[in-house]
Amino acid sequence: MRLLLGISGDDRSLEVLDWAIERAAAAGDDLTVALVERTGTDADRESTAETVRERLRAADLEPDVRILDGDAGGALVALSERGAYDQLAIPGKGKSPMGKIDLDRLEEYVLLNCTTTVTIVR
Amino acid sequence: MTPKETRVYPDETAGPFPSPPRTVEDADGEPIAIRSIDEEDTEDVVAMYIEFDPADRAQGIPPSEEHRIRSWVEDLVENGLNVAAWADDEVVGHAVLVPDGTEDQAHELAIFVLQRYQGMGIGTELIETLLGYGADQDVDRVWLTVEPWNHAAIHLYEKVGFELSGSGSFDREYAIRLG
Repeated sequence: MRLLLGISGDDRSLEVLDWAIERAAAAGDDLTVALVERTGTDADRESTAETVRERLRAADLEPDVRILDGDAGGALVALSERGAYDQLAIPGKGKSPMGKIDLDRLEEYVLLNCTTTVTIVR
Repeated sequence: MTPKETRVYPDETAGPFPSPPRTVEDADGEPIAIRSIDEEDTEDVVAMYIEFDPADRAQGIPPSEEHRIRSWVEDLVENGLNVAAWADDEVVGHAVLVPDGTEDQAHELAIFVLQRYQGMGIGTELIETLLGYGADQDVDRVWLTVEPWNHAAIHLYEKVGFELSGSGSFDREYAIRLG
């Protein structure tokens, strides 16, 4: 299976990356990691890209990492179609102070616009 | 939803709201005691959520499994301002304000009423008492999120003075300013 993982480089991104790497390594899937700009995060995507490549190599996976500029949702969905990915995964935004699940603009956009399977990783 | 630093609150304050403790009557004339709660009341609140119908979950809360219910309630009691509605010795409604970490000390609100006690005016009394309690504790900004199809809840929030402050495909945000 070809999985496209879209992350921003914030703290949760790397946890979710490790989740995706473990799955891909176990199942023999192809994993592409796209670094996007996501509201509420301020990560340095270049340095994150390096970290991601290291982790992919360490798991014997192809270090296929792309930095996508512009609107995250639009860019991820476009790439998911152009690259014929089977699944797009992104981290869920996280919970409110009360513990309520919320969906940010990126999650809403990909759920409503992506024509492949979408996974919100919680 | 709205990044917390830029949430917009109404210009006008809502209220005044009644403070706990108080006793009201539900639509059947049954006395309902509403008061603030603390650690001693945790198990009574947990008991309500164990009975609570999962179909009425809102955005993942309350949890369904007893362990998780208990941890969640303990956190709320420890970190938030809580009021509960009692019919005899049973908790039939719970409402809470949790600080959201912003500089202006805004709080997030949630309210749950047990199914067999819904539709009897308890939600209104409970939320008004919670807002009164919050105002007493110098909380002046409160917000919440609600699924757009939950018309009963939206009606309740608008009735007590919440105004729409954000809207997405899957939920809406409402905010209120307390006097």
